[in-house]
Amino acid sequence: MPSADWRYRAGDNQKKGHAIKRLIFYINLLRAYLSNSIKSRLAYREDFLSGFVAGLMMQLIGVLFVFSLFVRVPHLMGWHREEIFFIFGFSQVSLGLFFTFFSNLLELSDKYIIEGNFDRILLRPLDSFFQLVTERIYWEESSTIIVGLSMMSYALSRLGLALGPAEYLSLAGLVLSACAIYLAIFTILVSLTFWFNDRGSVVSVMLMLEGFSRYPVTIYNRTVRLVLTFIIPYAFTAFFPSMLILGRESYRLYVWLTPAVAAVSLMAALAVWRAGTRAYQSTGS
Amino acid sequence: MGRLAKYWAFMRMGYLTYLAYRFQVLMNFVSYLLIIALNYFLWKAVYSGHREIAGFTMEQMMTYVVIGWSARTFFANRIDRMIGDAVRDGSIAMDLLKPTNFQLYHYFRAFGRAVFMFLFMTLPIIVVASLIFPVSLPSGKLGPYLFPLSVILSFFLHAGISYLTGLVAFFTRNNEGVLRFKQLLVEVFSGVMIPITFFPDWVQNALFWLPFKYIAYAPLRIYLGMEPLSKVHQGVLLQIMWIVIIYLAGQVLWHYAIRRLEIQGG
Repeated sequence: MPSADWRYRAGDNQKKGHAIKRLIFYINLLRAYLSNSIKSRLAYREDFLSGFVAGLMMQLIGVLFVFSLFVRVPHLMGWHREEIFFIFGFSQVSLGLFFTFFSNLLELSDKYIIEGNFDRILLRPLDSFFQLVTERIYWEESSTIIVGLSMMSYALSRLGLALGPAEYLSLAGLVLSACAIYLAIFTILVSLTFWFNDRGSVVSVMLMLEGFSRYPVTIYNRTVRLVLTFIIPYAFTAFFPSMLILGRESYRLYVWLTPAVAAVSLMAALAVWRAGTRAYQSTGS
Repeated sequence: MGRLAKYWAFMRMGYLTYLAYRFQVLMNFVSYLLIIALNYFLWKAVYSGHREIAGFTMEQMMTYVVIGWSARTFFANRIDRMIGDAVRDGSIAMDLLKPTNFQLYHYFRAFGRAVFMFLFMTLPIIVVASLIFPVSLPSGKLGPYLFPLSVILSFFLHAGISYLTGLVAFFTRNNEGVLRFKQLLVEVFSGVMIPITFFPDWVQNALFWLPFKYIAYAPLRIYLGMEPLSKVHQGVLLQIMWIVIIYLAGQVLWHYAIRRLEIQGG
């Protein structure tokens, strides 16, 4: 019985805590899940295409807004139009990565806690967070990444900036950090549903607040700036990391704080998640 | 009399449905305040160093943003989604059993929701937002009187557009792309996000021939008292004209849609 053997090994690994062995085990699992997810998505190509086009439409709303705004006004408090497009694009790429790979988190309250699917997850000898995230990958959300990348490259070419390999590499690292910050923020938020019965409307508020990350934080007043930097670190999901390329000296430090903020908030998020799963009480049936 | 009672009942149903979602409504309220706040900061930054852009002063733009987004809570509807869901899960069969005009049924049900939204979203948002942000009262001779009428017309115009979009569900199972495309058109070209004078001239000319700008842009111009009297009347008449055209188009499209319907299971 291969399945029994497999289950034994998973449980064994968790108990003994051979960190590296466990990591390899999860990486293999992830590979299998991803290939499964791609196959199942390809089986419903029409659904994928419809979702992709739908996502693109939503993206275009925001893009058409900034483009028509900045046709009339090429400068925004010392920021050039193309610089704003770059920041905007950056925020969409990191948000798009989050939506593509971690959207299933947002289903926690409706699909898992209220419908009782979370019990199934807890019964398996695998990390619950890992299971929830990998259970569905939203490939159609890649439209957001594509729109963001297009805006970034358009901005770069208009600004006449040619990046070297080191800069591309750092940029990729910063995008991943930004995505990790989104992941942390939303993990903490959805974890709250372990304690409070909310059906996820707080999440929609947080998604609205995300809009603030698309513009230079210097346009906001002091209070909003402090909130976006220290309390809900949305400023680190686009504005600060973008300064690597847009090079304002005063923000140098913040660029390299981004990965640190990502690491700290992700650790905090996983701690909240763990506390939440411990507090979780099944809805029963 | 009997006919009217029927539509009154649909309105009441639409109203009561939303009483059950108080927490969501509260969170929605917070979301709208956030959108308005973001727009406030953005426009304030945009106007630093400009007296007037695309025909709007900063004061006018602030009022435009607050009143525009508040009005949106009133004229928004979920008709397209409701029709799509009903076709997909087969509950449309129950709707069809009702001895009523399917289109008016949806209009009035949505209007009940709009009345709910007006009391618990639109008004509170206007009150709270005008305490925080600079908002001016309706100006011009007719602004205070014709603006409410114009927004009610906006509701029926938008309801018609949503209804037409919703009927697409009868022709294709994957209607999500179409729904979002309609949303894109309405969000961008109604003028709720940005006044249409910001668009290039050829877009503005094209919009003259389309119904979208009569959803938000035209009523907001009335509110701000930016139109001369003759233009105000013309705007309201064009709203009515579009409502009638779209209603008739809905009747025609319904005729074809209903033949395509197959209810699965039973």
